[in-house]
Amino acid sequence: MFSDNSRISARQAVQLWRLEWMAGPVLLFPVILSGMSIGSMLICMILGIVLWTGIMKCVLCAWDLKKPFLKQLTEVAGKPFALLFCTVVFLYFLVQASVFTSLTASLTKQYLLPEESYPLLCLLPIAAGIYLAYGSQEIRGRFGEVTGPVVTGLILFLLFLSIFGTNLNVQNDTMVRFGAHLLQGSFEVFAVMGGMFVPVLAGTFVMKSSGYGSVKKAGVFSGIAAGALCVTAAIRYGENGMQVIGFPTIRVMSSRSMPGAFWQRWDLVFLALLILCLTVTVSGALWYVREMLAVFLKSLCKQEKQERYQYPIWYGCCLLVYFAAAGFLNGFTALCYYRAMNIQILVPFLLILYTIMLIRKRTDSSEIKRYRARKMEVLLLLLFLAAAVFFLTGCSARDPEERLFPTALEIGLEDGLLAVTYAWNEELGPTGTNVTDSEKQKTLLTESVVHEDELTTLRGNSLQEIRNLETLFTERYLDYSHVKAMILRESLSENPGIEQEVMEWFAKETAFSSGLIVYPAKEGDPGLKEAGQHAPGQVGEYLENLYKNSGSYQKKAVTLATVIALYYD
Amino acid sequence: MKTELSLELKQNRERIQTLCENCDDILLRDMTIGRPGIRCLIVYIETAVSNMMLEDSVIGKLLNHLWEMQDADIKKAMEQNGLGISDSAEFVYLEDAMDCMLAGNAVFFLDGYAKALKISSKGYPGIGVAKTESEKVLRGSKEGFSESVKLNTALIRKRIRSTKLKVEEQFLGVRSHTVTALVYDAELVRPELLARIKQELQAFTIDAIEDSGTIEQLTGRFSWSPFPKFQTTERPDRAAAAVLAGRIVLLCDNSPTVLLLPTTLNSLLQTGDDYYGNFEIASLLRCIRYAAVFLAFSLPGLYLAATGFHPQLLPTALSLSLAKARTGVPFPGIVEVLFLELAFELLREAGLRMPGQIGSTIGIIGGLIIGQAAVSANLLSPIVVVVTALTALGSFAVPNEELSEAFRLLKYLMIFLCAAFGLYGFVFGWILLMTHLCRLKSFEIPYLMPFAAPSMDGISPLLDGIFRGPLYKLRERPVYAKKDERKRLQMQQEYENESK
Repeated sequence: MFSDNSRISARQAVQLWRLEWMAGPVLLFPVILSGMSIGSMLICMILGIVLWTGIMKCVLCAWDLKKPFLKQLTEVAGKPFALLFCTVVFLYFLVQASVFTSLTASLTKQYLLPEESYPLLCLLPIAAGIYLAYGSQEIRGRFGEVTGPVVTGLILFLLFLSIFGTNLNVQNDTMVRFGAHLLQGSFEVFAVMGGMFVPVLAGTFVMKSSGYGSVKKAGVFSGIAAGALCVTAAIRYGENGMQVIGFPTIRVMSSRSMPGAFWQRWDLVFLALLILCLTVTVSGALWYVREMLAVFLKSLCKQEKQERYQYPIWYGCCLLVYFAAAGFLNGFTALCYYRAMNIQILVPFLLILYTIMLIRKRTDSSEIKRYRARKMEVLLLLLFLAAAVFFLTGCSARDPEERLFPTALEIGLEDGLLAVTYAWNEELGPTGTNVTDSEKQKTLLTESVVHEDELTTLRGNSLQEIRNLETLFTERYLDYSHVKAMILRESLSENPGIEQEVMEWFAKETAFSSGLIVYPAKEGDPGLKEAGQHAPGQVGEYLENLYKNSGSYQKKAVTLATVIALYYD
Repeated sequence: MKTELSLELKQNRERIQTLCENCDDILLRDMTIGRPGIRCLIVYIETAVSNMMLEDSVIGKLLNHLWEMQDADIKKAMEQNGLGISDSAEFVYLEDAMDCMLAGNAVFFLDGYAKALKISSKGYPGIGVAKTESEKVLRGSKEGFSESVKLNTALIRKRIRSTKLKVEEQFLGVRSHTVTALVYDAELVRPELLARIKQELQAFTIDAIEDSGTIEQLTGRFSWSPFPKFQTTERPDRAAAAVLAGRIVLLCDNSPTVLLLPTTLNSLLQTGDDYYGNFEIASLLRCIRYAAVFLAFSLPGLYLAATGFHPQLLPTALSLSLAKARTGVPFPGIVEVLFLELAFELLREAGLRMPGQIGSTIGIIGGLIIGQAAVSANLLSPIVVVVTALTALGSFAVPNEELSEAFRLLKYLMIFLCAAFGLYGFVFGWILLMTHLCRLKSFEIPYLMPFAAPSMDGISPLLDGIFRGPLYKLRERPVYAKKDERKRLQMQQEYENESK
């Protein structure tokens, strides 16, 4: 009844592929569509998805989903071509596994664990991917069926929150600009959605030949969700702002205007879900790598040897994937490889194959092969290695008492120098101890570092100099993740170099929420000092509440995302 | 090679004496019955068979009758009536007769009669039917299983008075000869499942079966998984409900814990009274149990991830108060959490081994006084005490002890992952757990049913999974039963419509 025949139900397939295909478009759409107007962006996405579903239908009409993969391919195009095809598929998924492992590690390094070693971060998705891909397709099917609705449901929920939390202060260009770039964009959207590869292969493993329906449902869902996120990011950051911010579809979730009851930063929750999706993609790629290996071995050696060599070679491939991922160094490089591979190699190759297939369509009703479960020694060895690496490298956890949280910032130019003022909470002084009355005096540590009540002002010629000064007044880690509001002096624009440096800092520092409230202030306008007099020690909360509860302040203030968008547009 | 019983009582007696040498608890009582007198022998274990029972049993009454008969008529009467007696069985081999005696019955031998007769007894002394200790319910039966297979099968039979309920007994353990029984409904059980468990019970040879836990570990295919492949219960009503769902109940002598197979995560998170009360409340309680699993598995890890890596997840006020609370604590977060978790494990273990009242006192002392003292001494921050207490509450709220233990164990993996990788580790902890659960099967039934492959199950994940629908909607048996025997409820109106 519950045999392991590597065929999953259509429902399982839809859920699994939604997970597998969600992360790629979410991360890649902003890369390929940034710089376009929102109207053009929408047209490209619609055209790309329509193209994808259309070609998918043609392909799956020609492909008999009940037939073993190699047999059908051999019948259609001959054995040499079939083996060549398998080689391309094998290499493609090998690279795909590396790309997505690298992406997972890069995202984690950028948003979650900036101090952790990159090769170590690559280990986890590979280990989890192997564990999930080990054995029959049913395990992945069940995983998709159980976790899929929860994860995709949460992603949709966050998507709606981000859409409704987006303010329209920035004047976006919604006009469609016609031209060759529309066609190119559509083609790239089509290529990002997995070319025609995964669905065709995966369709072979779905019960009752419902491959196309499942593929279409999953693909269109992922495409639309990713597209909606991409458009939301474009509205929030502007066309050019999107290009400056790394992974804008993640950053768009960091708005504090979303009604988060407890969690303050929804981007981290979204990222956690995205990491799960990326890991499922890695596991999917590794699973297809193993399938292709089985196909090779079947055509090359006897069954006894197939069983003996398949898993050791597969583990070797996984190791190769790990080294390749660790060698990509960052996610953007990986994305570029993936994009180039899809467009320049995969799509043309597949088009040739499917043209042949459409001409020489044949059917056969034999069943696909069964796979036996294997022992877990090599996986345990990998986990042991991971554990060894963990204990050798240590970890980058930092307890809360080792962090210093500014709740508000004031940035401007004073006497030609950049001045950054930090507002602390009353409970903690910058020295890490409770503030006593005697300390609540104006203290001049150096000429550039001034403490006054719960405020600390740093002055320097550049932002870099300010960042260096931070170490003079605290030994603790300066954590900007609780900055609730910022006063941005207009004087900053007097020095374009410093202004650019500050804006780049805003764009790249992931600790800043994109919904952070920014009060533009002229010379002579009240600053943090005056705010501190109204609410001693609670300057951040005071400024945030002003914005929330007062219509006039809502007109004056903007969000950090708007500041970035206005600057780069 | 078995030894056939002899016609001569003397020879049989000698053989028995040799076998029972130095067994002072086994009594051989010689008697003479009839006129002028024929010798007979009763063999039994001293405390397992009482004189009162001997007199009151059917065989006892037959003996009294034989007492007055002529010798020539006695053998005839035995041959005619021996097998007709309801609580009797005949043995041709000495070993069978001895096994029967060792099971707590008396065995009757007659000179010139080459067979032995069983005189049934209630068997060894036991605690009898008692209130269940581990699966208490507010509504429903309060009876619990005892340590006798016979009594336990009777408790199930009491609830399913049908001849379709089958009880297949067998002895396991080369030396212990422990009686085990497979209880199932012949119409509902999957034949392949029954065949498999029978095969697995024959697949090992062991000295002794001390508890049903031994069988649990030797069957169901060995795996490294900490999750239980069998569900355990001490409640006859749950065992009966399991039989009616098409499952097999495995009883073991000397153990009040019976095994239900196969099982799923969903079954393990249900309680006895889930189906007795209002469905809305039952649904709420089920949701709480699933939340309890989340807490038991991941709360300490989530705490470490949020405080050590991502304080931006927490409200500013909470982050600052956490920082303030931890000021002066000499240990990093992970040591603090591990220290308290370990202390809690010690308290749990100490509380379990102590007699009732002292056990609960230790819990209170440990929880309140030691926790408070540790916080005052700056060894721990108060929030860690709260986190550990919530985790413990979560693990206590999981209704199945074995499942709770599995999550208790895996919690440490989550702690290490989160301490090393923060939210990243948290995500991978859950991926590993879910993958593991997706791989697991209990006697070929996927562990995550009905959440996985619900179409194969008779129940919907929404109606009898995290929630419990109204009883009139739960018309089908779950996946455990044969596919053509899934219907378990039919409303009168439907029945009439079908009849028309």
